[in-house]
Amino acid sequence: MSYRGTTVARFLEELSSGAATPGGGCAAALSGALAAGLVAMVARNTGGLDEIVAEADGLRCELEELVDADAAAFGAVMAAFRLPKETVEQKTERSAAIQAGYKAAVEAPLLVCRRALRVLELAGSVAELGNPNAISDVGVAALLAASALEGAALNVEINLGSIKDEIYRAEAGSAVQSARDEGGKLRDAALERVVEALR
Amino acid sequence: MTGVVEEVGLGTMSLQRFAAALASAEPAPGGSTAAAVPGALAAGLVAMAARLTMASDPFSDLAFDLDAIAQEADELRVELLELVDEDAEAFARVIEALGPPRATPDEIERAYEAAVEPPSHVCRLSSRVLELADEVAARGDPHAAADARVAKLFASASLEAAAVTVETLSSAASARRREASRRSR
Repeated sequence: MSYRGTTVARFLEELSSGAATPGGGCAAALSGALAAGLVAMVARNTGGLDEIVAEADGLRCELEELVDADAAAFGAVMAAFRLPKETVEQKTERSAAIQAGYKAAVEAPLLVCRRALRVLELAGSVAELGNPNAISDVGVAALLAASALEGAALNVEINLGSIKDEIYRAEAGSAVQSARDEGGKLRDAALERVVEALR
Repeated sequence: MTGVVEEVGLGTMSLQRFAAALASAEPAPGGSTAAAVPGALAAGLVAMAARLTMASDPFSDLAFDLDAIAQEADELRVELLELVDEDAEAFARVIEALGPPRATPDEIERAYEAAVEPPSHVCRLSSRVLELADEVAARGDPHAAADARVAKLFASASLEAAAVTVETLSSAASARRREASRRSR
């Protein structure tokens, strides 16, 4: 299932349904893609920020792909739960498939955290270098990127709870925590600049 | 819940095209238009989380309450999606008034004032979504509660983002008013 090509209205409707996908992870990735789009728009309207434009466009496309990757990973977890569990071999296979699925369901939002962090950094640069008339767009971008990061972090955490590999759990847990700490600082710094500019 | 989809406007764009439209150098759709989207996403997540929890015990008192929440969240989602379009239109009228050809200061001021309405409305609706998300986060089952927490993040981002937009547009509107009164003196 590809959500990238569905309309905004349809995506929202599917989100509201009682089905487990698309869920919070997809919504977080989409929020990051929108933030990257806004950063690119402001950079385009400033001039001389070609590198930021190119990077933000790349991040937007990656985050769009992650909307689908998140849904696919969660779909794989649910499919693994439906595998037969009659014999010992089936049980082993099923549990391996569930674990692999949960790892994929951690990787997708973890990547969203990392990419959203980068979008926040670019939002910070654009807050400084960008066209002052577009400062509120930068503020919206920072807020959307920060909620993408934090929303994805919550998804990493809930899925980590089902993973048995302790080393993996510890590594992913600390990666998400540092992204969150860093992201919080970047968000506050960008918004401070936005508020100053509005005064 | 189904069928209440706006058949025209930004809602009918694919996610990809909508994000690309934001990224283009065109000022609209811009930040104020994007601000409504996380509110709509949050409303969608609240409804989903409520429905996921209801499914496990559909005839309980909790399910009855959650059903009401899901329905209200559906309405809020549709309204927030409509505000995406209303915002884009109002903002496009500001850009048009700024010209060329440039409209009169009075007209520009009115365009700015009209453009404050949609994001103000987004603030009100998103804060209601936030209340609903709070309730589902407190009463939903663990997985649904995680989605409801994501919804809380989105609803507050939407609220704050719309507030930043309201501030920017109001200060632009009052700058126009000052300009107009200077000229009329």
